[in-house]
Amino acid sequence: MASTTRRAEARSVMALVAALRSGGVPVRDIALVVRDLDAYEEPLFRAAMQYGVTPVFWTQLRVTRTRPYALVESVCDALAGERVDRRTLLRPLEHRWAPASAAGHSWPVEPGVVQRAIAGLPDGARPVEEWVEVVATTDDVDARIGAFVQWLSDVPEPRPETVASVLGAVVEAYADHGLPETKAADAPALLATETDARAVVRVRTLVQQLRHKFAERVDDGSLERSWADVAELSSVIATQRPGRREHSNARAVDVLEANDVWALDVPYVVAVGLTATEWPQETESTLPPEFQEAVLRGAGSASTLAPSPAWTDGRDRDHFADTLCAAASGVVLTRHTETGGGDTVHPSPFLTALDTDSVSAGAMERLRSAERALPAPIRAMLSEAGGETDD
Amino acid sequence: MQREHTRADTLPAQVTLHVGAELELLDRARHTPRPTELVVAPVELHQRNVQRRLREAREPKDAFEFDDVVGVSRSVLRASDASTTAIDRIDRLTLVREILGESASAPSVSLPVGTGSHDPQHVEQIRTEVETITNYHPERIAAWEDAAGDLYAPIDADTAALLDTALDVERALRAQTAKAVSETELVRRATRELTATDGTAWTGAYPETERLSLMGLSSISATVADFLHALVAATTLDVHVYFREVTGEYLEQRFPSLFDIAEPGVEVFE
Repeated sequence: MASTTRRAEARSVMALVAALRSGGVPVRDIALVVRDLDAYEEPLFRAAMQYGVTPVFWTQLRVTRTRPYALVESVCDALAGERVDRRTLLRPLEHRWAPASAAGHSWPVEPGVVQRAIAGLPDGARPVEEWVEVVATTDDVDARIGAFVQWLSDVPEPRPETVASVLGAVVEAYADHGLPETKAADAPALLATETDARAVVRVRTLVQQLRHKFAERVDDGSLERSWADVAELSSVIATQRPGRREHSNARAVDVLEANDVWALDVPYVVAVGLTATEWPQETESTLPPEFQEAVLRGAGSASTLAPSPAWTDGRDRDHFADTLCAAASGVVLTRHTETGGGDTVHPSPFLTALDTDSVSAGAMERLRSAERALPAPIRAMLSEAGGETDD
Repeated sequence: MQREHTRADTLPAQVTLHVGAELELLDRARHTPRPTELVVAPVELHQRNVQRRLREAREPKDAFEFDDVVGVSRSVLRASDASTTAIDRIDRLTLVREILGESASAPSVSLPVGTGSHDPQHVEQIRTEVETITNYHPERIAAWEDAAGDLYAPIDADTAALLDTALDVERALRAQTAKAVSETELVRRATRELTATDGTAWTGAYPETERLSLMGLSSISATVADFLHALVAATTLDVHVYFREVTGEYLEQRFPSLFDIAEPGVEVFE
């Protein structure tokens, strides 16, 4: 299936998923596979919303973009400077800060209340201790805001134990009071809740790592005991890409990277982005290509040197073969033909070796329209598969 | 293409190479009191994919234990009461940055010329690539120098310089920390432990294991090859390596010669 741009391709893909589901294919029987999620996650997500499909992206959670992380970061920021302004001071409340011993439904502070408090406080940066008095003497400021500022003022200087206990308590209070807010506002598939819950788990781990790393850095003298350094260190830890992939959701369609498809068995696989720039992509190496070639050839003593097929397109060809192999009943390959700027995008060389049926432009339009008509070759694929599984 | 000479007979009989076919594992599923097969897959999601296939086939998981090579190495080291702590990439990059900073005033690391030569991430990548290809084994370091010498100028010198950079950085890292410089070093330590204990470190860690299946590979590092080499030399374990569909045919040919070195796990630094 060829579409014009990457966005159009993403819409075609999600229209296809919607049409397959209307045609009686269970959502768990479909998997979408891309070479690299970075370029496709956003367009696929938008298209999914448009066609009423719930996607789950099997990728590392970008923890820095989650609310629990933003909360921890904003607490460090509020503690970091000698003086802070009113926005920095109250930002943790925007990210649903709650006290460790909070009971009942009074936490987190409602967003409107926080905004009014920010508007009601005076401009200018002050030490937190001074803010305690300012907040206490300003009219119409919610008592919970006073309690928060008092808490901030009572936080001790950072030592490894205090980093872990202060931030740990912040995360646990978020799990108790912040997470239910996300759940209450979430769609029935609870995607946002799942992301938020995963983020809580990750930020918990991060706080533990932070404690150890902070202790080491203070010991070896490379860091000072300041909350600014704690914030800096937590961002370094959080932006490392762990080798772990996140969980799935039984009511959503899986979107996987090709490397992760190995050994899976799914009836229908949609391989997305079969363009010359996506499949294959070169793996960056610091070694000269001539040397790579000598190691790959392995003549003479070079035969003891370990070669990497990723220097050529070998790794990508493995992944593509795994993608085709994972499909028990049928594969749909999709690509786009131009960039957003209108330049031509060529098809992937991997396509030339395959014998495929193409879907006409008219059939693509009918698929993407309200009609959601499955193109003839895909209908044929379904009825063949149906014939096999009916017995 | 005719190979210059075949080295297929250098591969011990305990090692069997396969292309694809990893899911024959489903046929070996059965109820056992303890796992007898260690399934080693580098990507955690691959381990989960295999577990999902077992579930879909309604087969028991009992016979299998899943891990990656680093996890297995840690178990071996623990069985010998050896340290299993390694610094992680975050700490390593910090140390590399310090090393490069100190080296600017009193050169201790020879840096390649060109873009990114002072960027810790770039220098760390050089170090890991050299480690993957050579596992710092003296014979492979010599092979690198030979192969570099066969290239034309100036690529011959550039290639030799990359090796020097990696070895300098590795030495400097070791001088900075008492822990293992990386998890890869833990694998090498476990490799030497297997040899030094004549396999008792292995049986201590995995008394019931009869078979090791390494799967999901699109490449194989010198580090993993050396670990397997020491493992089959010191034990009677059956080792099966499953390559992937496309690269498998090439790697199957190329893999045996990685065993063409003496004393796997030994390093050029000693």
